[in-house]
Amino acid sequence: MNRDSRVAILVICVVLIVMVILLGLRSHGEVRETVRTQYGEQQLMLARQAASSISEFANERVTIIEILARDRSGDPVDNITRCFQTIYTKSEGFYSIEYINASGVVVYGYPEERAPIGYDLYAENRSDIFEAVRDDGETRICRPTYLFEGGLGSFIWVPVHDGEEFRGVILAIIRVSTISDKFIAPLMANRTGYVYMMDNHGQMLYNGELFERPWNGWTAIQSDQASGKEGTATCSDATNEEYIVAYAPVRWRDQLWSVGVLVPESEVDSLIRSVYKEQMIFLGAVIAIITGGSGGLILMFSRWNKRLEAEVKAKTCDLVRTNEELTRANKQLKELDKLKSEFVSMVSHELKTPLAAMKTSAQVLQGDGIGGETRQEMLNVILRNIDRQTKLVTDLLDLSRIESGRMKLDKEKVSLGDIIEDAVENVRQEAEGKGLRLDIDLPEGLSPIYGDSGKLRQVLINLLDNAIKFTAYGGRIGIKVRELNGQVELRISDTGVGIPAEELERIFDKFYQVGGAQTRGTGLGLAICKGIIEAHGGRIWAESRPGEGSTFVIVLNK
Amino acid sequence: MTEKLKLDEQDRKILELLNRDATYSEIAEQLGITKSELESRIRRLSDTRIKVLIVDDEPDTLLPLKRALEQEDYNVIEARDGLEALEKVRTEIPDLVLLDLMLPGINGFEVCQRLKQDEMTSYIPVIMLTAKSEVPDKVKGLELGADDYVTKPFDLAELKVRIKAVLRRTAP
Repeated sequence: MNRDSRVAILVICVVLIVMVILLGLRSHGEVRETVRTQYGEQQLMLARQAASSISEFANERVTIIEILARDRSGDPVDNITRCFQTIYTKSEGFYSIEYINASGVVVYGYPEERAPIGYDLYAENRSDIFEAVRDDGETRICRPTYLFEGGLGSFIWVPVHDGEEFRGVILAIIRVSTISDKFIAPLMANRTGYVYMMDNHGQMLYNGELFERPWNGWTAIQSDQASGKEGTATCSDATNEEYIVAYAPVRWRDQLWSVGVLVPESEVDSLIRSVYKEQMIFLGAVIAIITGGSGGLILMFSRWNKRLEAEVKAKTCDLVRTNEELTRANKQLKELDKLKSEFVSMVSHELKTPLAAMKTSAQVLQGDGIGGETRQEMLNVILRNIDRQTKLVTDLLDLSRIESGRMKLDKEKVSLGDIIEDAVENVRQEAEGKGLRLDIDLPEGLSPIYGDSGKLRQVLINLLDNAIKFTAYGGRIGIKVRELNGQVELRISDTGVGIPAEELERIFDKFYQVGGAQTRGTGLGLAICKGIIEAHGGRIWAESRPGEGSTFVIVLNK
Repeated sequence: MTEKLKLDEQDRKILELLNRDATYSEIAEQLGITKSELESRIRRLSDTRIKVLIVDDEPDTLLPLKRALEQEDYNVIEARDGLEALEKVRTEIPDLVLLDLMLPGINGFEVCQRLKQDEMTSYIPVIMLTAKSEVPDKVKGLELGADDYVTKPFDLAELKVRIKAVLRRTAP
């Protein structure tokens, strides 16, 4: 996988993440609204539950007193009042239960310490409710009023009629704080927010101090509460913090109270935040999985790709190599073909030239009136060319033997010094004729080597002939021998034209001639030299700097 | 045989001056050449034999042929490579060239081509004398303007006849 596609995948990932975040932001408003509504509903449920509990509790208390008043209406007052203690203790919630006789005087109360025994309503001029209850025979509940002992209390007036006879009134007092402690205070335990209670006149029954500070939007809520409605609304305090208000009515006979729950809107946000927190953790995990996964995939693909690329590269390299080898082989074949035709041409020339010389000479000899000098010349030509022809045939046979591995070496212990001197003598005349100096450097006590002296001599003569042939008049030819570890190194150097570096390797190939057909020769000499030296287990190579001369190096085992 | 001599401008001047009985020194001075060069020119002018130039790098091929032609009373001169051949043709003005093909430097084909392209030398007959016996070589040689093509080894008698035939054919 290339760099571009990796970048593309990363970009796609980033775009996906951004899209998710944008969608999340867009839905945030809706979510918040929904959560807010739900939260409001929840607060309303709380308020409603508290309100109904209060109604039930209070109505139950009224019913108990009414049952007592009806059941015991014919009983003596003592029988009635005897039940007060039982009711007080069994049915908790009463502050006190008192009995007011028909003339408006408190005659009994339980607990006694809370009862103003002997309190005369008429004397205190507070007989209006007493008289109303007495006259219509209906239970009456008063708005909460402040008790002597402090705190608000609700007074429940239940008349006792035995037939037509009015016997008195049972007055039960329930403290508002009893109700609020029991049903309202626990509502907000461990929660942020407030709860309050009021009656339909706007009198605060619980947590009234809450409204000592100003609230925006409070008036509308208050009027709803006063008219016994239930619902939710919002208001804000002086610091502009928004609150959700949920309220529900408490119906206690003709009394109408209302319970309100007040929670800051920030609760909604914190709720949403906590939900978001969960979501973010989930989203984060998803993103991590997606990026990690795609990263892993990218890594996997890129590794796979790299491996593929490497394989393709290797295969391509193989192909290229094979191709190169084929091209090289083809070139070599062409070269070989060219060499072969050059060889045929050369052999034909080399064989025919001496024959032509011999034939012409012989025909000259056949002619009449030939001088003695010419006769001798012609004979010399014939003899020279027989030698030349012989050498060529010998070379060709040598080469053929070398190539087929049939070269026979007549090996014995021979002195390399003797062979060199012999070879030098062979070419001395020719060298001197060209004004060349021959320097021979032989170490003393040169140990003998094991080889075919005739063949080694042939090699040396060939190399020396070449050196003479390619070195200009007045040059120098050197022969230097030195002993190495178990080997003898022989260097034949000249100050001739030299050999181009690219041809150094090839001069030992058969038929190869430096500079093509420019210089005359069979192209067999060095190939034969190499064959002979290698048959001896030695090595031969050439070193040269064009224009400065060449050195042929032979290394033979002792 | 005099009419067979090929004369250049200087040769004509030399003859003219000689006819006026000028001395060698006077002629050399007048033509701006050395006295030895003048002498060699006069020697050449006085040699009335047919002049044959043999071009071959093999001395052993050249020598027997030279001797054989000398026996036939040809004036034989020799060149060992292509450049020397062109030089000799220019200075010696031979009547016939026997040209080997495999020469060091400029080969026989090129020598032939140059001779035949030059107006001064194109009339000189050329016999190619070579060990190259393949038909394409012969065709090429003849296309380049060679007058005959003889392959080595040749028969001496045959070569002599061919030389005569070519000379007869190309005689002015």
